[in-house]
Amino acid sequence: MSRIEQALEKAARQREHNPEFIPVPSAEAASAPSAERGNGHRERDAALLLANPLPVSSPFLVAPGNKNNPAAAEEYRKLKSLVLRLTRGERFLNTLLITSAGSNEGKTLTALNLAIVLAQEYDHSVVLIDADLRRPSVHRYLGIKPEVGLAQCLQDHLPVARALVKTGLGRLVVLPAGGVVADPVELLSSARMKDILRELKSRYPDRYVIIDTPPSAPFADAQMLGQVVDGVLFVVREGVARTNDIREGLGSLKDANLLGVVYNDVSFTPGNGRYYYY
Amino acid sequence: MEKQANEFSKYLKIFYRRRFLFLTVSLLVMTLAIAWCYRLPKQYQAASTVFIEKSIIDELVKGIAVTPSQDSHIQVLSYDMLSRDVLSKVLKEMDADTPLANDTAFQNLVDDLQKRTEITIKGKEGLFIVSFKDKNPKFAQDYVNTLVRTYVEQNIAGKREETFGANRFLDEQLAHFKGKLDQAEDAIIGFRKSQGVFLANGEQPIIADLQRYAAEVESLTLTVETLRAKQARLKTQLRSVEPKVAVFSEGQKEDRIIRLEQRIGQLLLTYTENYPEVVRLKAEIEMLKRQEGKGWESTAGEVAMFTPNPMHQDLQQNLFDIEAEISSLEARRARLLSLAETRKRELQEVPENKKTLAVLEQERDSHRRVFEQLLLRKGQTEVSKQMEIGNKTATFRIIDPAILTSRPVSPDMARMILLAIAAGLGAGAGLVLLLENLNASICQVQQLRDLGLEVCAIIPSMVDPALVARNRRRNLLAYGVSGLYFSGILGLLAYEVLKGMV
Repeated sequence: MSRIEQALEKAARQREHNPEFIPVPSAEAASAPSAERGNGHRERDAALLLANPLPVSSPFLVAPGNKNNPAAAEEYRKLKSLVLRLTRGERFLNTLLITSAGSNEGKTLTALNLAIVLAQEYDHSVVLIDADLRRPSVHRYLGIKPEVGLAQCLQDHLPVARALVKTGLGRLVVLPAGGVVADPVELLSSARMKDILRELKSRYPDRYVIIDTPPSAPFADAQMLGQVVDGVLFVVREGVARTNDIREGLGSLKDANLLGVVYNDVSFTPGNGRYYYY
Repeated sequence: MEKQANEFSKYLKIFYRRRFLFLTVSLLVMTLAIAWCYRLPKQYQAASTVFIEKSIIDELVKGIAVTPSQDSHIQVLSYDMLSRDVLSKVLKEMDADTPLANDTAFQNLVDDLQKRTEITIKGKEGLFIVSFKDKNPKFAQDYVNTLVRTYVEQNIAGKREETFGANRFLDEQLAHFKGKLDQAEDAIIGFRKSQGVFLANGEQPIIADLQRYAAEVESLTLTVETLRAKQARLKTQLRSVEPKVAVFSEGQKEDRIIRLEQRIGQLLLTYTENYPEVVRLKAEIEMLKRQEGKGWESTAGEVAMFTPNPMHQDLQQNLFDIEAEISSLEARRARLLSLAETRKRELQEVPENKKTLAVLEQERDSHRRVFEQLLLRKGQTEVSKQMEIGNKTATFRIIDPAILTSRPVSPDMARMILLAIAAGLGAGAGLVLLLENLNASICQVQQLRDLGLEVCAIIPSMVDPALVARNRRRNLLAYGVSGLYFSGILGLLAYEVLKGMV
């Protein structure tokens, strides 16, 4: 376990007896651009760590201190390692879209947990965007009630920095959905969305941008965003996703770079958890 | 091995995921099945065991007497015992036919009884068991006992009738074949008579006869020819001899009488007066004397007397004799020729007659053989009849009559509960597997790989301790209730098993 993880775990233990929502800290300061790396980078990291960690009460998040699901946490770490390997090539593929064929397959949890484990790395900061403007749920898992979010950024041209929420979970910053909108496809396919993504992607070269979206089979949201991200992780929940839906969902993402599938909520672990992806 | 483990794991997962459905359906089906079994009407069974007893005498008289075959009876025992005739008698005896409305109802009852009566034949042990199930144990008992009794009685009467009938039949057949044999014998005798002695002697005597006749005809022809030559010669001589000659002249008349008297005198020395020559000479003298006073022919002044020429008469007599002999010989030759013709016909008919005789004899022999066999059998049937009279043949003995039972045999609740349990488990498992087959969702990581997808991670189910605890409580409750319920079913099974053992 890294020192950051140890520190985060210690902080989590301290607030275990105070699980109430805390005021949402702005990530403006954290998102301020920095021209130089090195010392400035370390200072910014320290600033992130000094943010009040969110009191995560959800047992499904692999946050430090949560010992409920060690096997799942281990699998997410493996997923993180794989993502790091897949995205560090000639070009840094730092924008990842998480989607699935249908609803209730664990997109948000996968996005959140992947973001958490990535944010616990020294070398990366992570922005998790809740782009599910139909049924946003990232904030519920984190136990926050943000007043603004992506919807306001798109509709009202609110600066993204105003909507970002520091989680205190490693170097994870969240851009919540900001509520349900009537025309999510139009908003997500707008130039403003592209600008926001470009801004978030390019401001920090070591930043991962993870986007949680609605299901890809029934809605076009993921398809729109899939064209502007570097890679797609497709979540399939055991016993829920049907083959035809998977085909349909993947069919709508044919223009995107599919990194692979996350097989989620597996009730049994055959072969004692030994998998070889290569 | 790993594949099998994966298969097992797959099914384990399926059943675990749908465990509540499995438990609910299984227990529900078990309950319904058991309830249905308890609603079935109780059936009571009555059974009777009958021993097919063979008399020792039966073995002793084997070959001498013929008893009705028991095996043949056993072969058709089921059909025989459950025949309409027997069942009708049984129902009448039980007075079970009175409440029936009409013949159709009666026939339906008979059909039903036929279907429900079971007859188990144990040939090796030499016994058969008649069993019957009914809602009314008393009826079942009465029915089985009456059926067995009726059958046994009918069987004994039948066998007796069979033996006596065989006896009667043999008597009739003996009389019949005796008549036929006599007829055949008569036919042979008649034929032999019609064909005479030649039928027996064959062709040789006839050929010999023919040869003899031919020789005789030849001889007769020669004789006749000879006689005809004589006849012609005599006729020639006769034409040259005068039929009359002058017996004497005046001068000679007295001389002749004198000579004739002298001749008589000589003959009387040797013979009596009755000797024909003496009589004839006397008559001649008498005639000459009578002529003295009568006609005298005179020719040219000469007195002469004419008499038939003896030579002429002699020749004529010879001619007559020859002609008579010729006629006689001709008649004999014609007779011989006729006989020869008859023999020739007989010679032609010999093979045909022999064949006819052979057929007649064959027929006679056939009848004789049958008659002899029948005579032999007649002796056997006499013994058999005496055995039947003495009741010494094989018979049926009821060794275990049907008794009134208070314990129903059907439905066999222990077995039915077991079947209900099996049906419940089968239905639950079947439904789970059916739903699983209908479910097209991904349940194995391999399915994703089969789609050509790269699996980056396999995330196990994440648990919420609170939810797990709640689920655990719920599961325990469900398992407990199910277990308790199933224990109740098993308890019911144990109760039924124990009840059956008591």
